[in-house]
Amino acid sequence: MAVKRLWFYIKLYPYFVSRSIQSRMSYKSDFFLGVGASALMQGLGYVFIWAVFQGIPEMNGWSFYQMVFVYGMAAISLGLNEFLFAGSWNVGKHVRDGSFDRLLLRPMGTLFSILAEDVALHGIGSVLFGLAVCIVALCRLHLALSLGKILFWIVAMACGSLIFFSVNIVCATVSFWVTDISSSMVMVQNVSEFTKYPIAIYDRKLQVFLTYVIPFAFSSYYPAGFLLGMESSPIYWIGPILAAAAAVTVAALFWRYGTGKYQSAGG
Amino acid sequence: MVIQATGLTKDYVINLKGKGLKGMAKSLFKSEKKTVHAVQDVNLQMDEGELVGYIGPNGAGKSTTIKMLSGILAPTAGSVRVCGLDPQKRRIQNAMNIGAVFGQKTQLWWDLPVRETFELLRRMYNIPADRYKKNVDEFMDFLDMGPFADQAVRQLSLGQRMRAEIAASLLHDPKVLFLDEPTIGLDVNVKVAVREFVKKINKERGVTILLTTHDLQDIEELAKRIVVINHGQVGFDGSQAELARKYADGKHSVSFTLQQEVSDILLPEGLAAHCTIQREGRNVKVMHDSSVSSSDLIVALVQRYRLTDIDIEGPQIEDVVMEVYRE
Ligand SMILES: Nc1ncnc2c1ncn2[C@@H]1O[C@H](COP(=O)(O)OP(=O)(O)OP(=O)(O)O)[C@@H](O)[C@H]1O
Ligand SMILES: [Mg+2]
Repeated sequence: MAVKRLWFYIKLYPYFVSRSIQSRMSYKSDFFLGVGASALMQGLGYVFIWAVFQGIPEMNGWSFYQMVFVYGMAAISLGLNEFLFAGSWNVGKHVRDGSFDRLLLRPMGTLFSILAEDVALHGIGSVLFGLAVCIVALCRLHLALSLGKILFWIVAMACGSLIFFSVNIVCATVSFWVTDISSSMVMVQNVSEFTKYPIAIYDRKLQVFLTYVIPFAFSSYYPAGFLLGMESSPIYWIGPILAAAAAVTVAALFWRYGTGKYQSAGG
Repeated sequence: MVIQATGLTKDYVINLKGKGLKGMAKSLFKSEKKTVHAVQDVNLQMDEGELVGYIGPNGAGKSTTIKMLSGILAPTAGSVRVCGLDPQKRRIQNAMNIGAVFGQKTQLWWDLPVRETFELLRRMYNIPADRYKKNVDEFMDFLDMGPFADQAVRQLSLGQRMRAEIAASLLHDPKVLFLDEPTIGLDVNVKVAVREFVKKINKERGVTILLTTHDLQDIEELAKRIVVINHGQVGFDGSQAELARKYADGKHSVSFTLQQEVSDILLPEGLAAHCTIQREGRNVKVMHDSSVSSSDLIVALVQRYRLTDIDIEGPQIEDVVMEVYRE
């Protein structure tokens, strides 16, 4: 039963997404501007770390190119999240204008509807940029990843984007009680900036926060530590998976609770 | 029993925002709440294949009831079963059993052409290919959707969109159909087409239909059974005829013109108690309640006076409904 359901969603997803891209393509210039802006933003960030850390050969045990690798990983996870999970930004609007009704009338999970409804192609810009940066860093560090590590890398990136997504969904769920939440979502987005740098360079409290409260560090710092062979403690490799599982569970439960509180809009 | 609602109740809790910046700041800390009792203790049973007109004044709680029946809103109290399922707890299964049209909002995809929207629904509801083709052909034809089937939904006129909405809600052969103001803003011809379509679907496919509308002609033509809701409470549940009988007292009348001047119009005693007479020169209107039959009254009148231009009027549904809404 559950498998059948999953298969149903897997078949439906590409169809929905292609429809959404099709309708989005009627605004072509918007799309290219988006890709450009996204790549530019990431590029500027890169220039920033390059400028800041140029004179510093290493910081709290992290060399320049190791930091670059963390930066790249964060860019990939964030880009994937932006690309695949853009729909979470629409929740507030759906709740406010009552169009969430529509999602509830469909024979599909509401989270699926939200996800299938929107993708932001420009997120790909960020993913490609992150990938390029990571490869450059690996070359400079003279590191060749084993096949196992490459597989782990893929899993870690998926987990990382799921963590961003879950946190976004938790924020979006608040819109079932509070009318305008986009500012709080932007705030949480800004917290994700911290993941672009190894959390080892931060204050202890911030490290705990980024690990246990909003577990963004599992999208970049921890898996990077493992991939670069700097850390061997299990939290660096199993952590991202556990954190993603926990985040998705919390988000899904909270979402379910929130949708039960939906009040619709008059009409 | 296809629909069974018992003690159905919905309260909306509204946060009142104070005026201006000061009020806004205040509401951050302590929000004042107001409760709207939108639906109170509604009992509604519908059998398979029934078509019920659900009417009531603005803000009576019609849409709220439908939202609870279709799984959009959780009831504050009471229980609902649609085809044996709790619509909110078993939302996805329930969604397969029902179709819904909310005249005020679109269920369609704004940027997609109508045809593609149907295709999307086919996949979403897993509609078998033959059923899908049969339904699309039939609906396109009956609702005359050919001319605009390739236009994006956002480019449709209101009437075109409404036809597309109704067709879309029925593609997956639902057992139950909720129509919340499906004729709002339609021109006369489209209105007639939509009514015919609803009638046909109900008759040929045995779809159970709950219809709300402010157009009483819809009700007159479609709904044998009427449920009236006012201030969130059901005030009447019965046939159109019963509704007329209950609320139409004094709403029947016989009008005529006297051929000669008479000083007073006298009626036999048994009738007089049930009649009131309005008179303007030779034009007379005798209003009576439903215990008097108009034929008896006319016989009594022609025995005494010479009349022309006799006109019999039954209760108008507008009058009846206004009477009910006033309660
Ligand atoms: N989402 C909502 N939040 C708060 N209050 C609401 C909401 N929707 C409706 N109400 C209130 O609940 C009551 C019933 O509204 P409802 O929309 O069910 O009426 P209705 O019978 O459909 O009216 P209409 O004929 O105008 O469509 C109204 O008093 C309305 O102000
Ligand atoms: Mg309404």
